[in-house]
Amino acid sequence: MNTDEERIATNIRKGVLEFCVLALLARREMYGLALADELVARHLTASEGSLYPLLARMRDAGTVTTRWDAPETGRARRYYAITDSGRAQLRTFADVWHPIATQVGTLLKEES
Amino acid sequence: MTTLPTTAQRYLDALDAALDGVPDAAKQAILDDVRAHVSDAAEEGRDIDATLAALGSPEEVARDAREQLGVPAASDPTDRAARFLRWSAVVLALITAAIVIFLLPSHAIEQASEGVSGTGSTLQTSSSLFAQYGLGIALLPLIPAAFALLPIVLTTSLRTIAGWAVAALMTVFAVIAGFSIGGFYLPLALMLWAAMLVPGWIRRGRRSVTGRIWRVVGAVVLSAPVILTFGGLATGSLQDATLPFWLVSIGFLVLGVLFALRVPYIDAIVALIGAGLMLLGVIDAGLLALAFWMAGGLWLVAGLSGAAARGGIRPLR
Repeated sequence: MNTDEERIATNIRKGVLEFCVLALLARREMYGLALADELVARHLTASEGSLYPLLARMRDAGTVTTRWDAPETGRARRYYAITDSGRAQLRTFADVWHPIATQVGTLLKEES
Repeated sequence: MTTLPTTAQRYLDALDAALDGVPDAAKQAILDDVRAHVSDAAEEGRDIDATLAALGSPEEVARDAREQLGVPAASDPTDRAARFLRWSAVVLALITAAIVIFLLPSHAIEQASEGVSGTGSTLQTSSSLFAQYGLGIALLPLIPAAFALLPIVLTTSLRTIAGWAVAALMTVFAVIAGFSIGGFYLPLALMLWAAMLVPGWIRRGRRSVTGRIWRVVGAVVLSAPVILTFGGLATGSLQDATLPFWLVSIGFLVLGVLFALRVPYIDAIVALIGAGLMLLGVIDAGLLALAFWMAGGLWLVAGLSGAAARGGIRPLR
């Protein structure tokens, strides 16, 4: 990816990463690495390290919650889950996002 | 907990240091999560260097954390250390000026008149620099304080240059004016150097042996006055070594060692002792006033430097 592409991608991802995390957690609770892997596989984040400060803030804000899961074998893991307030945020985001995505899509189609 | 490879542990230490100023709960959560991320990845057999690279540098993660959690970037540990020492220099400059203006000449006069009459203390303020030459001349000792303010009030681009220039200028003044008034500005000169050097030490010593090395250098500096006194004893130029003298000397050396070991609160203790010595020098040391003032200044600067650096340099584990 060239630098222009990188810059544009970084800026856009920055605004939506939080809601992508909420959307992923709305499906099932996840632990850090699994969440990071999923975001990378979907090309939604370039630097995985930014995920953890974000999660810390989301937990402060109450949109996600954590619990420890200690399996019979292996290490205890901290799982992140979405809260009711997180789901409400996700719905609000969807309401804002869809018109924007549609409009941007239409404009880009006219351009090409 | 599984033990992590050295590179991973170093990354976590650096992240710990870089997250300084982020609220404790959030900081701990981020550190725990990143540690788990690295452990999980290592357990799955992924390459540790690639995993760390994908996380981004500790500084980047810390910058994200500050941004996310609304912590002002100004709480960068090097910035804070520099600001702390710069303001300490201003305060020291003001105190030095006050002493030079109001106390010093009177002190000398008191010494001279002591043999003649027992009322030296009532003469004390009557012929200070202020009383003798009036306001205009008396304000001159304040000029160094104005200089010490320069690195604080100037814009960031000029700050570094001003900092070095003011430190150099003050040193030249302290040396040229030698053992009269200039010597009283030597602690200020040291403080100005510390304000320039300590941030650099933090940057380089954040998680290596460098931090420990500078502690040892500090301890040697702290012990220097005592060692010089021992030198005086050995050559015979100093002869009245009493038991209290030995106790105090050994106490100071012990404090130096504790400083090197980075014992909790040692920086504050060293700084306080330094301030106490300076005060003692002005109030009661007679002919040794300047020696006490300089030795105390050395301790004060070393203590405050240690305290300023503590925010940024993590101890060795």
